[in-house]
Amino acid sequence: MIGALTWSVLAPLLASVLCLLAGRAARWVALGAMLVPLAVGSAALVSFVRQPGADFRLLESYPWALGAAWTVGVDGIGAALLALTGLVMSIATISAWNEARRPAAYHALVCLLTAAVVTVFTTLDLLVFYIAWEALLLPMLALIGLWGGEQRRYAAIKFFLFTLAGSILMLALVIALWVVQPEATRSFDIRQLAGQWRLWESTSVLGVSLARFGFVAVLLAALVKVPAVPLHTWLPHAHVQAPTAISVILAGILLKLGVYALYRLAWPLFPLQALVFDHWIAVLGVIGILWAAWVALGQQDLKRLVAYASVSHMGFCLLGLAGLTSSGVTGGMVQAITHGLGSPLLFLLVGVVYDRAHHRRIDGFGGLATPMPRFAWALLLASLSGAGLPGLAGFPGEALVLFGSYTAGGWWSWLGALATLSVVLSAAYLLWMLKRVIYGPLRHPEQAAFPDLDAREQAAILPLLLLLLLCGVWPTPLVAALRPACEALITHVTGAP
Amino acid sequence: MSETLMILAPELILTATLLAVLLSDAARWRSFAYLLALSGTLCALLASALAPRGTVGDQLAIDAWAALARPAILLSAVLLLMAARSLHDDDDGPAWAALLLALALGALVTAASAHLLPLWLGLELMSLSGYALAGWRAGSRRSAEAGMKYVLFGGAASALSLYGMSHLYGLAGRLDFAGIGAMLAVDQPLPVTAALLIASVGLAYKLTLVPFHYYAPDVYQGAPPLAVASVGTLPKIAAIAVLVRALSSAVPESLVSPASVSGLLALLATASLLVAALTAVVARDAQRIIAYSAIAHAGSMVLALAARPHSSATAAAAFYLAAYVPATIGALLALALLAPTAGRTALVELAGSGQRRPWTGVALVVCLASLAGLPPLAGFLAKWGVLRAALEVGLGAPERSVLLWAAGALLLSTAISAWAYLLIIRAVFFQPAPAQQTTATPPLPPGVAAVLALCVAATLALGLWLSGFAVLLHSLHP
Repeated sequence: MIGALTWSVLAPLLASVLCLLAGRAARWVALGAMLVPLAVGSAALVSFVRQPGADFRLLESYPWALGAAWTVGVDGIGAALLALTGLVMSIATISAWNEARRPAAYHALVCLLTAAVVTVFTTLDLLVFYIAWEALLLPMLALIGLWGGEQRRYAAIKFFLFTLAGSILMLALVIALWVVQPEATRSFDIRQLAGQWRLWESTSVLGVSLARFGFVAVLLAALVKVPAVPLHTWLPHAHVQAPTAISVILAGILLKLGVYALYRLAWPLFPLQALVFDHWIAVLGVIGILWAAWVALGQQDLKRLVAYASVSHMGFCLLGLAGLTSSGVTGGMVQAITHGLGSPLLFLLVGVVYDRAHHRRIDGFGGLATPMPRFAWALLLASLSGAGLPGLAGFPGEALVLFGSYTAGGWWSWLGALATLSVVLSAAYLLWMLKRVIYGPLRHPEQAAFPDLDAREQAAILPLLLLLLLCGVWPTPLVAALRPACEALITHVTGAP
Repeated sequence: MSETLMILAPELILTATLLAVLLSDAARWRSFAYLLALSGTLCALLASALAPRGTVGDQLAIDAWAALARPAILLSAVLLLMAARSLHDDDDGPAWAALLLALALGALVTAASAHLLPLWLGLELMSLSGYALAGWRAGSRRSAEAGMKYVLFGGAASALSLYGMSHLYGLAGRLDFAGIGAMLAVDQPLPVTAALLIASVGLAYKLTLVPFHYYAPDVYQGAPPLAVASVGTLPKIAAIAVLVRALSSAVPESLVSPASVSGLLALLATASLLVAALTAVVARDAQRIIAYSAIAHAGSMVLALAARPHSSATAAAAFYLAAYVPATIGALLALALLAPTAGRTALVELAGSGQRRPWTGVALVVCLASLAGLPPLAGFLAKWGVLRAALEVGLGAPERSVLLWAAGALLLSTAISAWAYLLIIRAVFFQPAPAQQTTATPPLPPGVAAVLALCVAATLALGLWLSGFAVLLHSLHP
């Protein structure tokens, strides 16, 4: 019997083949396939809300070969990310509903991408994790490179090379962890590997402990994906050139892969190294938060502004994870989820104006609230959430991370204080953007005829907007589902020395 | 006697086929040449699967490696013949088929040789037919240049090789690998080592290992794609097979420390991997990039052999070949189909060609991604196997930590050469086609399409069927 999580991978995988055969109906096939991970993830998340725990649920394991096994299972964080993947992918499919250029190939590639991402979020096998992690590069390369904007070639290749180079050491790590284990009990099971961390600490590779090498390898791969300043330079290009739906996927899902790799691999497998490097990672996080926010202030292009806002917000995930306090780690993961709701929403809205105006220059708009009131409301709420306004989804994650930093004391409070500055900065760039885009008198008369959000756009935007409000007003269930897994991680890491 | 005939059945069938094809030219049955060649090669393939293992004197040995290499060589020959049949017209048939059969025969002899004489015979048979294939396009200056360079450098390499072999004979008085190994035990290690090194130049040339690689970029760029696919794959299978046998019997572990052999091999591998990756990124011709890919992949295979005598080492090399051969044949066939003007594969000429033939373009992407080592394709598992063997040995024995550096070179090379493969993909898919190109695309020849589909299917299947590696390991080390 194939279980629910395997179906979450198989459904998009099969759908990608069906899409090619289905022609114009490909979008229905794709949407149907995305609903499977959404349903499975939501059900798992509800189970974690009802009975919080740090255990893995929906476990399935089938032996494979080469020591790898198809072992899947989700803890609270995996469940939330799985649900988020299903949601964001469905919304991206809806937003690309009228894709005219080779729609069958487009939807097939998105389905392939979904299968790879779902595998990363659910597998508990290191080799399968790596295979899926790398396998999502090709569909992404094609999606940006073929369906993107003017400079899509440059953006696609830059994305590809950055992420490939980032994860190249991880392959050596996967194999090294395998060969240093005693031959009789070799395994790629991440849970079993986490129990053997002393082995890597005591093994030396060319004068460096294997644990240090491994931690750096995972860190590099993850920081490129997060992305952390200064490895972030691929992101603005990729976002600006990618079509709206791909930006949505990039911001909503792919950036989370980096955080997830730190949470699932770097910290559990190399706890001592996590304690050694945590200050540096936190500093990188804070630099990212402030630098990207500062750069966002100067952007003239709406999409670039949202992209830099994205980099800034992802910095909170790093700061929270590095702090190793209960509220910090939980906050970092909550931030990963809520950013996966807020940032896609902003990209969708940017796509809405781009579809009408065919440009994204901030100074080319003004007073859009008059012709497009519903759009203006959505943009207002999404921006305020991005600015961390209490009552919206952007708040709980950032607040928890900052609480975590303050409770850790010492210089962590200083880092927290610095990170708090970003609340001012993000309010500045977002509100200033709002002022120039939707408020005031209509500055470009031809924009008076812009139609407001149509039914398809509302179908994509409303679910995100509602969840944004829900997670803002009542974040307790989400936090409750994520916290036990985070606390188990902290116990594992801080108990290591 | 009859047992010897059984063991050598594939070689004998192939020889008979070769003669028949040559006669068909004389008898003006040109249109049958490919059919004849194909059916003969298929019979040989069948025979190679059924033939018993054993030795023929001290000259040929059908051991585990040869038993794998023979079907691999014949299967690749079948694919290449099928592709040639639908790409070429009948007039070319007999000559091309005969050359290809001779190349395959040379590869079979090389792969099975346990003695310097058949080794030399096989290498020369491969070289001579390879020269003609590379210079095939009469009237094309670049093809002529390719053929000429191949002949000149190949001749020099052969001469060096023969020189080394004559020294080995002078020192040992014997020509079989085991005899040379036995002599190593007695005395004169330094002259013997020098002679061995010089004698192996011919193999290194066939493998396109740095520093014997310099002919490859020019030859691969100028030669017809099918010729590149032939000389780029069959000799590689043969050379690796005989290299494994020579290493284990002529340089036995009991006499020469594995660390020194693996040090030398790892050095060659590192040089090949890095030189190929760094030069590939400045190439602006798709077939030239494939040449650098051949050099880099030869480095990876030799790196796997450097991890000997660990059991996973030779299996890694075998799997690497199994991944490399279909991806290379597929990529070259796809390029041949995509190039708007036959024989011109400069990246600028390929611009936008994926829009004319999207499925061929997709096949090209799959093959290139496999060559780049991306999961879940065969090339990834191949790279995985080599790295595993290298790390297993390198981490286990401190005196062999050179393997760790070589593994690092493999990773670095992978990252850099990804750029080169991307250049091809970018040209084919991401760049707009030139505006004046309005001629209708002719339909895909069904034979080539079938071969291409088979290559892509093999690339996908070997990547997803993880147990394939274990099966190979078992067949090499029962």
